[in-house]
Amino acid sequence: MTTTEDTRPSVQTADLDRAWATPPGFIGWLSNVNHKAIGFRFIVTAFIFLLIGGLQAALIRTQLIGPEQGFLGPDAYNQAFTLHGTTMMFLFAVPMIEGLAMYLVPMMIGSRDLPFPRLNAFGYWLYLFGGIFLYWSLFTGSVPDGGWFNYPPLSGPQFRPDTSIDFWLLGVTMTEIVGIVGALELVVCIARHRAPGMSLNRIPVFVWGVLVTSLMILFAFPPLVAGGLLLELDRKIGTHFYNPMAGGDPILWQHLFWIFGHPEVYIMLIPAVGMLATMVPAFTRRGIVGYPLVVVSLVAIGFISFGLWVHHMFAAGLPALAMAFFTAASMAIAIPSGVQVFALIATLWRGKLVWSTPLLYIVGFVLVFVLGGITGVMVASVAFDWQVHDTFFVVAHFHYVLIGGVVLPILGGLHYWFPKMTGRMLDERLGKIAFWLIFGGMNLTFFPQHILGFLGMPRRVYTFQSGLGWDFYNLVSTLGTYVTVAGFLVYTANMAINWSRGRPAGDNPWDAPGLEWATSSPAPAYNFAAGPTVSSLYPLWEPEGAAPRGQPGLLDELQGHRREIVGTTVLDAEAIEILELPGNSLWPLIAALAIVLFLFAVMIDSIVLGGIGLGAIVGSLACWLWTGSERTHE
Amino acid sequence: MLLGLSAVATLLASLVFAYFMLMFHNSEWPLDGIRRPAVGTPAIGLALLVASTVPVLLAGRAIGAGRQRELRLWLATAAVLGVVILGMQARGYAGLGFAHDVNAYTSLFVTLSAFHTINLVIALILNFATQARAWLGHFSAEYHEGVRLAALFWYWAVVCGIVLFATLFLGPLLDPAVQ
Repeated sequence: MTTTEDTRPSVQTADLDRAWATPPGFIGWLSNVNHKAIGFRFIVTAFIFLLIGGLQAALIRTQLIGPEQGFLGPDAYNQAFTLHGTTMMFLFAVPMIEGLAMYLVPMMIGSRDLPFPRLNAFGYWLYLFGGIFLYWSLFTGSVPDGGWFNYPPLSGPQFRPDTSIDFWLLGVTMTEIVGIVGALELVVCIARHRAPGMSLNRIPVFVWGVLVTSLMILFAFPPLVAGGLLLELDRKIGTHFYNPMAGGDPILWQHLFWIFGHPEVYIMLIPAVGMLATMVPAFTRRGIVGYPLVVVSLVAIGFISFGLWVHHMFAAGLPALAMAFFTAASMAIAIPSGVQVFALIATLWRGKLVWSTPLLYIVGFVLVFVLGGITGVMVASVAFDWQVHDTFFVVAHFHYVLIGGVVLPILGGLHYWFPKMTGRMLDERLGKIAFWLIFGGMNLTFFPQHILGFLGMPRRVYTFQSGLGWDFYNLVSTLGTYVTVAGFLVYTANMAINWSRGRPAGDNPWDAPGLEWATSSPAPAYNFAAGPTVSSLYPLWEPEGAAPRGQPGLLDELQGHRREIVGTTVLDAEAIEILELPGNSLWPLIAALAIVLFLFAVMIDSIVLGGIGLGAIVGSLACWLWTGSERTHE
Repeated sequence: MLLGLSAVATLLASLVFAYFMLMFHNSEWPLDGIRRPAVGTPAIGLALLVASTVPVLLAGRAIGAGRQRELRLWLATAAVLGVVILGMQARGYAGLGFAHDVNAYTSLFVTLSAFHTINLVIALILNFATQARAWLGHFSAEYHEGVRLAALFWYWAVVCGIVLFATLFLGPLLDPAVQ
């Protein structure tokens, strides 16, 4: 193995420990900027939001357990499904994926940290405050209830004059900015800080997925920021962008929302598939089949996904030509998606299977995602879409896609990388029980909803009458939800129990081929004492003594007493420079607090407070930038 | 930085999309008998804006060759041009004759113009910070990343100005009702 030589004379681990140390105490904790600390905070926070969103789902299904129930009532029901969707999309899925990426990508590509550590910390604080901001609405009594997409005019100033939608708009905008910030960082890291020798054809599929997703975020999130800005202006200072009485058009919001909203689905799916393709070699004891095809199809999905958004608006009265185009694009995306599924199946087919829990999640993905994909091709057709639009068929479709394509891979990934993060193994028996409860429960919940959709049951309606043939399917669906909830309880308990008491994992418990397993588990703050070099896609499975390609000479100049990372070229990953990273800082936290102060002032219409907030933003950013930027040592 | 700017550029593209979508959505543009904006003064402002790229470019060249005094001179020249343009924009706002809350047209006009003004102000703040650091002697021929980044944002503000000039002042001429 050429990757784990920690013996280069110039590097002293004692020096490294000192240079990468975090100051003790609470202030030190707040000022930590290391990618693993921040990534871990993202993961834990997003997991808590997943549990909150799941609880809301249980409330929704309990209300729908039978006809004419009074468990929630119409207002609380609207709030529950709005918060459920918003939490799962903005506060769970994207932050969880970015958190996993921040934690794992630097290790997978052999870097010591992300290139802009303070920006990373800023992202986390803004995400945490954005989530708290959204949920603060619960304490004010005006909770957002316009659905996760908040269409005007319902969300406009005429029909929602209270602050509920403002909480939603500002909270969501904060998480969008977090997404953009994280994406910037990950793109630069993947492009410029791969281990020498990790040319484009040796990048793990998960890292490819993160790269494609990050680039998509840069172009998909700004339209929603723009849409949200216009809506907030409509609500706060009386502009008329969405007001048809003064030349505006509510359809404009639908366009801006779905130009974001459709790529968003693939922003979540692409890295999730990448995660599976990166895990699968460890459980099939062979490389992924068709690596180049898998990567090309990830990139293709990234492009095509920007040409799909109108299929969410087939019922909005658009020109027939537009609908024909978007139908074709929506069907075309099934091709690269199919390539990935078949690559996974082929890998399973050709490999020697090791039936650990993560493999169950991989197989679960194939089953559930294919079902969601098939119904996706069905609703891509305008004629069919008109029949099932706004019915439970659509609810069933996208839950199959999102649970199959995002939640199951994330749960499997957390199970797989848990030993990397804690140094402990999860319990296999509890892990399998949790998988079967979640897998069985979600199918029991959502399969009957296809039938409910055909029977004409509309979504987003808080109750229904008996005698329509809907009672039985709703009952089954709700019971399925309870099974799923039980599965999540087991899953969470498994993590809580084995966090500190689990079987010690060793450095590479799965005998996996990825570079992240080349260092100890959990890894030291600097990941690798000596910069690793890479000469294949599966560095830890190489025969002993394979020669590294590229020019690793520069690595010998890495100093131990500063926080330094290697800069490499984009295509061939040849080492060209050494960069010094800035250390711990409180300014990211202060800048995030300043932004919250400003948005709070917008919310309560306080010009004085807004001025103070704006000043605080500019001041904290100035201090942040003044206190040192990255330095290059050629 | 370039990646960050591409995200901001997407924001601009979304706003321009909103402008044209609402323009083609309405049979009359501008709405409610408001006259099309005069092109003259904004065109002069645009010319100044484009001209301001020259001192910014020269400032970068100067520090690349290690000439500190020239760096400070060209940065100051660009700042003066920027302030003049801001002044012209302020006069433009004062003479508009309508506010943002009349109808969708005025909302778009004011919001998109303000977007450019904000970008120009940020470019100016970065310019001032760079000037301060130039006086303190922070830059050298080898190390002048700060000058490069401030220049990049300045160019972005210029691109943004060109796109919004085309949208707000030439865009209404695309309206079929005009021909």
